[in-house]
Amino acid sequence: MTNSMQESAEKTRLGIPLFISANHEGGAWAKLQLYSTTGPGNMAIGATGDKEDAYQMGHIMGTELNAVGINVNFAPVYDVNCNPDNPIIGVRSFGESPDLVSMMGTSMTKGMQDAGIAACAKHFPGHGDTSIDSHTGLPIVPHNKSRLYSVELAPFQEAVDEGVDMIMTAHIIYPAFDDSGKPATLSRPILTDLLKNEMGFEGVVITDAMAMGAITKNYGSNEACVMAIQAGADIILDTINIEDRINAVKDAVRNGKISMERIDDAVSRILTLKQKLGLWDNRYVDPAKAEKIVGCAEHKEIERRVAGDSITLVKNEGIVPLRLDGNDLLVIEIIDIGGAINTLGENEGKLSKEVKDHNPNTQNIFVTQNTCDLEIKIARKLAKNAEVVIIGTQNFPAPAFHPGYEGQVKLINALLNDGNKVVVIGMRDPYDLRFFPDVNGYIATYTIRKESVSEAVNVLFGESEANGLLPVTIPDVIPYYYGYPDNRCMVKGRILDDLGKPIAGAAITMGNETSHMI
Amino acid sequence: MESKKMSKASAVLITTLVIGTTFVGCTTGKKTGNNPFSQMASDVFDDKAKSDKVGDGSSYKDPDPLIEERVEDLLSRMTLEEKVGQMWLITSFDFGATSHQVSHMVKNTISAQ
Repeated sequence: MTNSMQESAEKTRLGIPLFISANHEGGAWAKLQLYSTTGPGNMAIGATGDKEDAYQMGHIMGTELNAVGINVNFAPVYDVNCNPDNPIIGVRSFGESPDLVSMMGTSMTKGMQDAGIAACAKHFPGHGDTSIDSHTGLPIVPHNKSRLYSVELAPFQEAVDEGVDMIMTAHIIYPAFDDSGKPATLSRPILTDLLKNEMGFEGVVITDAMAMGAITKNYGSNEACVMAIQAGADIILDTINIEDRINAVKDAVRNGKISMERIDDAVSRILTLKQKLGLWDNRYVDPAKAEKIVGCAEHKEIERRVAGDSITLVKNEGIVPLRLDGNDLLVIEIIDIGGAINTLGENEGKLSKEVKDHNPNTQNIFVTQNTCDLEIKIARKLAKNAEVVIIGTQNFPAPAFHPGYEGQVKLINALLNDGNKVVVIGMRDPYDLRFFPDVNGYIATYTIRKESVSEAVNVLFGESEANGLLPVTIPDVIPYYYGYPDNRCMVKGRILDDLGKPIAGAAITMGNETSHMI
Repeated sequence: MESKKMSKASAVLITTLVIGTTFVGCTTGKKTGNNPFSQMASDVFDDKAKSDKVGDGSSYKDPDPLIEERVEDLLSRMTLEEKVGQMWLITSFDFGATSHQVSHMVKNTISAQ
C-alpha cells in the first residue's frame, strides 16, 4: 500500500516523495497493534526508570514502521501527566515528572530517528494537565509562565535541543502565552514566537487533527486551516473537504492574509525533513523483508524484558506472592466493548489464561468495562468460593472512546464489602486505585499487552520481582513519594509494601544519576 | 460518530500532494492580465512550472549538494499549488475508507495533475 502511494507521488511533475505516517505511540495507542512490537507503552517505560528501555522500544517501533514504508511516527508523547483526571493522555505519558518525561522522551525519539524515521513530539505545549479531552471540547491550561516553562515546556525544549524532527500542536488554550482565547494550534504567539523563535525549533510543526471537537465546535474549518498556517503550522492534519481547505489557503495567500514567506518557510521545513530522511532514494519497501522484521523474535524478546522491568507492585498487604495451597481463585477480566484499541487478539483473556497456568483451580468471568449490576451480582456469588479474587481493571476514562469505568469501582468495592481478598491488576491508568484504596494488593502493568500481563502474573505468584516504580502520584493513596518532594519531581519512586512506608533500600538509579532516598 | 472516534487514532495518515484538477485552472495565466492578486503571489501563478520539466539530473535529487541548496532549488521550481499540497495530511479513518480505497484515492488526486 505504501509503495503504491509513493509510486503515485513519484509520477507527479516533481516526484516529491510522501510522508506516510502512523499514530504508533506504543502500548494500547499503537496502530500496527496486532502484529507489531509496540512495547508496553510510555507510562510503563517511565516505570522502568531505564532510558535504555525507551531507546530500544523507540528503535524497534521505528524499525518496524520503516519496514512497512511509514516514515513519520506521531510519537513520543511528551506530555507531563500531572492530572490524574486527564481523560485522554494518562498511560500515553511517561509520567508526571518533567525530568522523567524529558529523559524517556528524548531517548525514545533518538531510537526512532536512529531507525530512519521521523519522530513527532506531542502535544505542544502540553496536554498533561487537562481534565477535558480535546477530541470533544477545548481545554484551558491556566498556569502562569514560570510553571509552564518548568513543567509542560521543559520536555519539549529538551526535544528541540536533541533535534526532534516534528512537533504536533495541542488544541488547548494557554492564556499565559496567548490571551486572545485561541488554542495553541491557531496561536502565532505560541507556534511562531515561542516554539520556533524562542525555543529554536527548526523542524516541522504539524497540527493535531483539525476534525477534533476542540476546533470544529469553535471555528469554521476553512478559517481554522488558514489561522493555523498563519500561526506557524507547517502541515495541516485534516481530510474532510480538502479541496475546499486548500482553496481557502490559496485564497488567503492571494489576498495577502498568508504571506508567501510563510508558505516557503513551511515547505522548506517539510522538504528539508524529507531530504534528511533520504526519501528520494528510499521511498519503496520490500514486503518480504518487512514480514521478517515486524514482530520478529528479537524484538519480542526486548519487549518482554521491558515489560518485565515495568511491572509495579503499588500496594501489597502481605498477599503477593499468593500462597494458595490448592484453593480456588476467581479471575475477573474486562472486555473492552469499545473494541478498537484494547482487548485485541492474543491479549484477550490473557490474564485468566496465565493465572490458570499457575493455579488450575481457577474460575474466570468477563465483564463489561462499565460493569453492570447483574454482572456484579454474578461476580459476588462466584467470589464466595474463591480464596482470592483477581481483577484486571481498565481505567481509561476518555468519554470520547469508552463507556466509563464506574462499574468496575462498584464491583471491587462490593467484593471488598463482602469480605473477599482482592488483588487488582491495573491494566491501564493506575489512578483507579484511589477509588478502591482498600484492596489487598495492586499491581500496575499500565497496559493490556500480553507480555506485561504475563509478567504481572509471574509477580503475583512470586516467580519474579516487581521491578517497576510508579511514575505518577495517586492522590490520597500513594502520597508524595513520586510527586514533588523537593520541587524536582524526579521519579525517585519506591515500591511500597504498605501505604506510606517505602521498602528499605529501594533507591534506584536513573540514567547516570543516583536517586536520593526519601 | 465512528469517524470522530477514530480520527485521533487513525490507522495510517498520509501526507500527499493533494493537487486535484480543480486547482489546475488557477495555475494558468488566464487571470494574470487583470489579476487583483498581489505581485508577490503572481509569480507563482504563471506557467513557469509547466515548461520547467524536472529531469533526473536536477540538483535536488543529487546527493552531493547540501540539503539546504537542494531544498532551495526544489522550492524555486514549485507552484503555489504544489507548495500548499505539501502542507496537507490526509487520514484514512477520516474518510471511513479501507486501505485499498485510500491508496486509490491518493493515486487519483496526485496523478490528476
